Amino acid sequence: MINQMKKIFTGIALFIFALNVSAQDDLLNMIEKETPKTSTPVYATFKSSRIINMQSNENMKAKHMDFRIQHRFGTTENGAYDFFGLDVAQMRLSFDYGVTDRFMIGVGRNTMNKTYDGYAKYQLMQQKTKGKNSFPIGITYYGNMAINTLTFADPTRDNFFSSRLTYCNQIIFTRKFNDYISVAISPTMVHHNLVSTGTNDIYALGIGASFKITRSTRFNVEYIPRLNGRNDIKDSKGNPMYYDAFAFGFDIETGGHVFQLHFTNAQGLIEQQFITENTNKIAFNTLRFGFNLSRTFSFDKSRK
Amino acid sequence: MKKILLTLAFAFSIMQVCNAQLFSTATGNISFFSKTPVEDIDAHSKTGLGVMNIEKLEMAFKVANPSFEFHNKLMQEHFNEKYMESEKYPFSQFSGKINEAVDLTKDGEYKVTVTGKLTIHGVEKGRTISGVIVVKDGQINIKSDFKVLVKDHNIEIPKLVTAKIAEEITVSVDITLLPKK
Repeated sequence: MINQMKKIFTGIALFIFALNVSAQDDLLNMIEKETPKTSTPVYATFKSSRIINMQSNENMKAKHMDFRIQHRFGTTENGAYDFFGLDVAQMRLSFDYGVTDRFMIGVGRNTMNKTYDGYAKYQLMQQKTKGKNSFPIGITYYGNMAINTLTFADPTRDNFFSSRLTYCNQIIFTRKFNDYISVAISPTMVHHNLVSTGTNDIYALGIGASFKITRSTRFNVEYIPRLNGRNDIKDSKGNPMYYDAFAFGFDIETGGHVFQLHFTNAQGLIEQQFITENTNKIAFNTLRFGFNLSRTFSFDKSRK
Repeated sequence: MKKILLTLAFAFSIMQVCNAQLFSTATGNISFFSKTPVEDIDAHSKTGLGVMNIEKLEMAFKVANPSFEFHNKLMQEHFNEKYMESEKYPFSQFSGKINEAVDLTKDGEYKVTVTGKLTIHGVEKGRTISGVIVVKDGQINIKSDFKVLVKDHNIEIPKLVTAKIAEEITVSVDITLLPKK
C-alpha cells in the first residue's frame, strides 16, 4: 500500500516537474490546450460560383459583387469554315451580389432566346472542418426564374406572358475532400410553363468535380444526366432532340479575376437551356469552346 | 527520509506552478499590412492568444490564420488557400524571452527586445523583436511592429500579382494580458 502510494507520488511529482521544464515551449503548449477547438467553414471548395455550367456552392460574400461574362462559341464540326466555331457566339452577362455571407442574388441576360434570368442562392449548411460543430458536407439551394423575350412564334393565337417563364430548383451537395479534390452532386428540377410536347418538369442529377493542379489553376469536369423525358421529343429523323450536358475545363485565377476556359457540348448558360434544351450529342466534333470571366468587386469599406 | 524528500519535491513543484506569474489573453489584436504602389492590403485578427510569465520573462503568442479579417473576402480566401495554406499550417506563432532584466511586477513602461522563434507557414525563424511593454493597473500591454519577409517563410507570390503584394509585410501587435486565473 505504502509502496503504491510512493509510486503514485513520485509519478505526480515527476509529471509536475516535467511541466516546468522548457518554459517557452511550455507556454505555447499551454495556449495549445486552451485554444478553443471550434470548427470553421471550409473555404475554396470551388474556385468560382460556377463549376463550368453548373452552380457550385460558392457565393459572393456580403457586399461583394461579381461581374461575369460567359461565352459559348459554336461547335467545332464545321472546322476552319467558321473558325472552329468562333464565328458563332452566344453570351450571358450577369451581376451577382452577396446580400449576406451565405445569401447571394443575381440577374443575367442571355443571348439564347433573348432570355433574362434572376436567381437566389443560399448556403443552407456549410461544410466545417473537424472540431466542435463540424459538418461533413455543404448543402446549398439554388433557384432561378427566366423570361424568354423572343416575339411569340405564332402571334395570331392567344399568347400568355406566363408561357415565357421557366424555373429551376436545385439542391447542391458539396464536399471538399482535401486540398486537391472537391465534388458536387446537384439534384435539379427544371420546369417549363409551356412545352410543345413532352413533360413540363425535367429532373436531372448534376455531377461535378474539381481538381487542384497548382495554387492558381484547377481542372474541372461535370456531367448532368436527365432522369426523365429523355426521349420525349424527337427530331425529324426520329433521333432524340435533346442530349445531356457535359463539360470539362480549367480555372485560372489571377487575384480578382477568375478565367474559366472549357469545352462543352451544351449551348445556353442557364439550367433551363443547358440541361433541358441542349441539342448537341456528346462527341468530339460537337464540343464547343467557351469561357467564363469573373471579376469580383468589394463594397465592404467597414473598419474591421 | 525518501518519503520526506518526495513530499518536499511534490510541495515544491506545486508551489512553482502556483507561483508562476502568468498573464494571458485570448483577445489580442494582431494586424498586418502590405503596401505597394498598386495596392494596400491590411488584415486584422482580434483573437490572438498570448501567455506571459513575468518572473521568467518569457512569452508566447499564437494566432489562427483564418481569424484574419480582410476588407476583400476574396483576398481573405486567397490568403488562406494560396499563401498561408491554413489547412496545413493553421497557426502563426512566436515564443521568446526578454533580453533585458526588467521587473514587470512594477508599473511602468519598458522598452525591450525579445529573442525567440517566429513560426509562419510552418517555417521557424530565429528572431529578435523589439517592443514596448506597459505595466499598469495589474495589466500588461505589449506593443510591437516588426517586418516579416515573405520569402523567409517560403511563401511564394505568383509573378502575376507581385506588383500587388509586398515582399516585406509589417506585422503590428497590440496585446493586453490579464493575470491568469
